[in-house]
Amino acid sequence: MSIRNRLSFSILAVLALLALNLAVYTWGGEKRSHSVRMLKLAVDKQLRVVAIAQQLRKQNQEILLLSHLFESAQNASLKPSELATETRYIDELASEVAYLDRRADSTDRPQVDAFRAAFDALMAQWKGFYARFSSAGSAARENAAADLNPYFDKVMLALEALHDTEKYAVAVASDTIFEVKRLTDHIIFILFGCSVFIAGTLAYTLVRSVNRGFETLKQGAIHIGEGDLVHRIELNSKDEIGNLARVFNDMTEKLAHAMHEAQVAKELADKANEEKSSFLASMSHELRTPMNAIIGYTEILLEDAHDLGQHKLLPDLEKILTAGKHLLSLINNILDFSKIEAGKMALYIETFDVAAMIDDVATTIRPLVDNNSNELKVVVQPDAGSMTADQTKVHQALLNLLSNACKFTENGTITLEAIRENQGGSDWLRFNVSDTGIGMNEEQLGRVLDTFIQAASSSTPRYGGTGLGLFISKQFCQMMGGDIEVKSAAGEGSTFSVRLPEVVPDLKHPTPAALAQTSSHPLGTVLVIDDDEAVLDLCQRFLTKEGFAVVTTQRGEEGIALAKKLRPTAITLDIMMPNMDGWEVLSVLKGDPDTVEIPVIMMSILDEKETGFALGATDYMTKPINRQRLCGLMKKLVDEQGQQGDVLVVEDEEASRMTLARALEQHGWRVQMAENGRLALEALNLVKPNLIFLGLMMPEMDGFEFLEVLRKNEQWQDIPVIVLTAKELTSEDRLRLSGQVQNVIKKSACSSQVLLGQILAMVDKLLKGNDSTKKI
Amino acid sequence: MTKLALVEDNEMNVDMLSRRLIRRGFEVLVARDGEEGVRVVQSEKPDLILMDMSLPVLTGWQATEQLKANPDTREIPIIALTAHAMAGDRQKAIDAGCDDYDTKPVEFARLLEKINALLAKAET
Repeated sequence: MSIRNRLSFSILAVLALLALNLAVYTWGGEKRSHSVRMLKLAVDKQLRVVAIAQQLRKQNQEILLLSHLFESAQNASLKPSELATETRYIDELASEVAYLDRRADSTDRPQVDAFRAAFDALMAQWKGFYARFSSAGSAARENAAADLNPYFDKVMLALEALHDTEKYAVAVASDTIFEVKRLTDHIIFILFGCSVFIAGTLAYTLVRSVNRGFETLKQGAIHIGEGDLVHRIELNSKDEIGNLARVFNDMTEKLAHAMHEAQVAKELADKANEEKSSFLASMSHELRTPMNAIIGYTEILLEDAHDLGQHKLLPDLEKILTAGKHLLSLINNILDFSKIEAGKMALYIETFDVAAMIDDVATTIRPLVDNNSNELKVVVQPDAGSMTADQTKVHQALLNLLSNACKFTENGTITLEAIRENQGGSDWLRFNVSDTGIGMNEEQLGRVLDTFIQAASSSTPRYGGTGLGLFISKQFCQMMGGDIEVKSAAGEGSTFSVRLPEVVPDLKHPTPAALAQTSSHPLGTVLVIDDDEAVLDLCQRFLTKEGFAVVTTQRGEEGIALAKKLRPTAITLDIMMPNMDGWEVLSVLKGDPDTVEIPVIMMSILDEKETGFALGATDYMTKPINRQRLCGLMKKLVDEQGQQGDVLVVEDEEASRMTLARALEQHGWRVQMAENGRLALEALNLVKPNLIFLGLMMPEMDGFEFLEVLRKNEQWQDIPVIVLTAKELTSEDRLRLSGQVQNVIKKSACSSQVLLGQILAMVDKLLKGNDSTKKI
Repeated sequence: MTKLALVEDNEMNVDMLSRRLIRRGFEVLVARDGEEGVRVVQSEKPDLILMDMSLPVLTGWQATEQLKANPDTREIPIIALTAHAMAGDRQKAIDAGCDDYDTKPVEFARLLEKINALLAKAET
């Protein structure tokens, strides 16, 4: 049944129940009125009976009187008026009795009948009596009344009986009233109660069923809304909610279908995109191969012709070569353009030296410069330094600008400048390519950076080339977060400026390197050098959360360059890296005055069994001890109050030991000494030093073993250890020094929390000492 | 006469490069895949190797790694010839142990410069 019907039914039912209640109430009322009427009637009858009795007695008295009178006075008789009056009385009585008779019912009929009969008889007698006494001189006047008495008695008896009956009827009627009231009350209340119950039940079931339906609907909609398009609302009722559910289900199915189609379409599009990419890639290869052959063999022919003295052949061959090279550059441009349009042009970010790149560009462009008898000037500012960007693209853009400059300049000067600028708190590199060529007017300027349009289109035959190269260069710069600007005036030459950020953000390894340049990071910068990407990622996230700016690199050389440039607050250095391992990097960093002071934490290697301590040197120093180097180190490790604290020197070679000890004492340290690892451990038990200098080659217990024991002890774990090494540290020694166990970070990221905690603690501590020397 | 090994699978490139190098007075040994390249280098011990990176059997990277791992051939400078402007390839070459790289299509003069530079360095 539909909800509407159910609702209607319920309302009708309630109304019907109300009506029923009303009807029953009315019936009850009716019944009560009836019983009251019955009572009234009975009372009325009773009163009349009493009245009749009274009247009868009165009449009887009169008759008795009359009788006596007539007995004593033989001649007395009733006057006609008296007779009439008496007759009238009797008639009135008779009518009263008749009334009673009329109103007699089953309760008193017999009594009424009996009375009536007796009464009628009496009336006859009385009438006879009056008749006798209405005419004078009748005989038998004596004891007339006596004849009447039996009749009268009979009547009175009957009347008495009747009276009793009527009295009884009254009592019954009165009881009946209460009975009826009680009964009707019960019925009404019960009915009312039932009605309420029924109505309530109806309402409840209606509400519940509707609610359940809605609830199912709601849950289903939520499910579907959350993405479960397989879910179907299970509601099979034939009512409106069921219909709604069905509609929902239909909608979901259509949605699922649509999404599926979208998915299929996306997959097709992706596939098409992939095909486009591989098309581009293969086209790239396909087109270049014959071009290589053309250019290559033409060059060979040129050489052959030259060798064979066939100079006449040379100009033609050179034309072929030029055309071939031109064609190759066009092909390259078109392919680049296609790649850019397809969104397939990617950036390969690396750090490189600006001056070196400029040099390379200049070398490449020089032949072209000479072609038009131009002169090339190269100006690289001394602070140009290095930049982190896509070197190939920068190279290509600059070459493009330079070749344009060459094309439009004759007997002039072409200048290539590299300038470092600071804008908005970060460093930018500006490359200016200026020429003293024909220049551009305003209209040409406006069009110059649009696709396909060359500045002097009317001069196309002479100057050749397409504007694609310029467009591509501009795209490259914009991809790297920069741009190309141009200033020009007709006849006065042009200057094209490439502006690029010093550090181009690498989306594959997002590093807030730009942040590292500004001093907005109160805690400073940490440079993380590790070949393991997972480690880099982890360190980055962890340290950034702690408030450091983090710069990462996977290569030692780049790490060195970045350290020089960024002067980070601390460097974490992985030991196990290919090409240039941590030790090599460390020695370079410590050998360079720019970076010697930066605290380096050798990222290391946790003992598998006892996770939670880092084995490794805070720093290391070569022998013979270099006092300046030592000073630098010490400055770093002094704690804030300026108190120097205790230092333990563990070294078996007496000369080194004494020199070091003296140097330290002069700096205000309290020095403990030990000749080998074992003695050092004993010394540790007596005084816990703030710092340990540790030689490696010692008898009894060498530096490696000592370090092992040291790091195992919780109390001594975080004492900084500076390893004294001879200049040549074999890779085996380094390995041993680094520890025997693999890098746990590689194995399980969880325990690295502990390592990182360690690093933080160390950096923290070093920072405190480094405050005076912090440079950002 | 300076011996150069050219490991390249493309016939035309082999032809062009070797002819021009021979003309310049080099002796050119040719290998057409990575494996052959390693063999040739190991037996002939050239003064310099020009290694194309995309080779059959053994890739240029793998061949380079093998040669650099072998103490007999470790010292021979290798110039990687990589495809046009793939910076990733370039870095891979360096990581594999190449001493220098040049892009293809080869600009002969530039390549010659690099060859001479490496040969000069090797002599010292």
